[in-house]
Amino acid sequence: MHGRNAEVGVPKHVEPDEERALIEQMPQNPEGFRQLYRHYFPRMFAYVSYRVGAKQEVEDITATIFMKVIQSLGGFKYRGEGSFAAWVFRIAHNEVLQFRRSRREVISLEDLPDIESAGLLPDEVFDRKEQFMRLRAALSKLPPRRQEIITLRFFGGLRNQEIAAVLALDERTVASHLCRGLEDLKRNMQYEREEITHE
Amino acid sequence: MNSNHDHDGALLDQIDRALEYGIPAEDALVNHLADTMPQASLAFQRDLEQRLMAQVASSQPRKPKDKNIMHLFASASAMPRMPRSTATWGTSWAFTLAAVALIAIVLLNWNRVWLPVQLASPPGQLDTPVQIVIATQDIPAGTLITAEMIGTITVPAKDFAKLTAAQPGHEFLSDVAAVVEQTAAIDILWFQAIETRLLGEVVDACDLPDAKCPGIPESYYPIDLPLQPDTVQGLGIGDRVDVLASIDGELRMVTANVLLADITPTMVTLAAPSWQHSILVWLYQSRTSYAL
Repeated sequence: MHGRNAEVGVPKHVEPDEERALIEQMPQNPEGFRQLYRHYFPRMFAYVSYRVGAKQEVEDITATIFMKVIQSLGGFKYRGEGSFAAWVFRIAHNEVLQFRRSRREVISLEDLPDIESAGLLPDEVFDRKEQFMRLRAALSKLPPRRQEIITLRFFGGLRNQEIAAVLALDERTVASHLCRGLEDLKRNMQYEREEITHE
Repeated sequence: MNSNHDHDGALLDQIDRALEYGIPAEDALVNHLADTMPQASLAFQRDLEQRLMAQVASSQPRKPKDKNIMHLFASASAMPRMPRSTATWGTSWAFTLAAVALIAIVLLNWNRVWLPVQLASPPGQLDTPVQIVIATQDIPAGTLITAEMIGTITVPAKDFAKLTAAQPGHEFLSDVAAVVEQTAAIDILWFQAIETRLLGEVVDACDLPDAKCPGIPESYYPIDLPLQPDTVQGLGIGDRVDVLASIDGELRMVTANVLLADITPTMVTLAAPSWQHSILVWLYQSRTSYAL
């Protein structure tokens, strides 16, 4: 299992205080953006993968999101821990929405991004990708808000408070949608039946 | 109600522990979700990082004595190239910096710098200041130019007049209205003077009549330096070179592994990523003796 700071590529964990300093000192120290990018990239890529699907488009949209972050960074105001993450993912959320409005989804297994699979055999890697496809399909049957909340929480790595800021919702509403969304998802994936079988 | 609330609380705790600390949850779905994490290829992640850092570097507010001046004065072949997409720190930044650059231009001794663009000033009006249209942000090729993307600067006509012979055939624009709603034919850089040849259907910058394109890698920025005696002896285009400069009477290396992109009888073109390019800009402006 991975944690929210799972190692993908060359990630760099950034503490909240450090993040604030990097943002505020960006005009004098543009190199600081590299740390922010490495911190957010794995989460952003995973989030966009679930929301968009096809690898090529995931890459294009991820790149666009970071470009927009750079373009808009001058106007960002730090408002405490989590405010930057919420701001970054609000850009991502809008970008994904815009994409989803304009595209119809027909994605094959080969088109999907890979799943973290260090140390697995090729067959297992294939199984994991299939697992991702099924999970994505089940998620896509949920109401849009629940899809968004689950992907932001699990793949974007945002806390409920940060998700609330992205979607302009109350934190308790987010928590409620998250729990109900997981229940819906469980039903969609027939997890209950699996659990009953195991019992 | 209470039992539902308790269930939610327990589930949320499990999610937090699974995502924050990697502790397996009792709920199989939580584990399943946390374990199915799409992953980018390292090549994509690194390539994007490189492009973004180039973008950040090109978006930085720059000191008037550095790149602002270079954008105006560099030739087509020496013009730093933009990465694939553009970025700015906002229009307000651009206009603020436009003002700063204008002041800097006035303060600089124009007689010392080489401006390779044709002047708009007609003969006989040398006392009249000349207005030129410049880009106030990077404008990627294919972009429909809006009024927000451009501005004007005014410079003494007599200074322009000294420079007109440098590169004949360049039609330099002074009217903003003539540029608005035109399409950028190639990437136009922040503070680059707008010329008619930069407008119209998208073309490769190398296709421009007087362009010299020695094959600059994407995200690299070329710069021309005057060829000094023995500078390129034994070197060829495509070589990677270290750049040494005379500092405090000693020859010291200022940057390493720079691409030697072109050699002409009078100039040598070096190309490098943005941070090295800044050093080369300094070298160009300081007119310090250098060696490769």
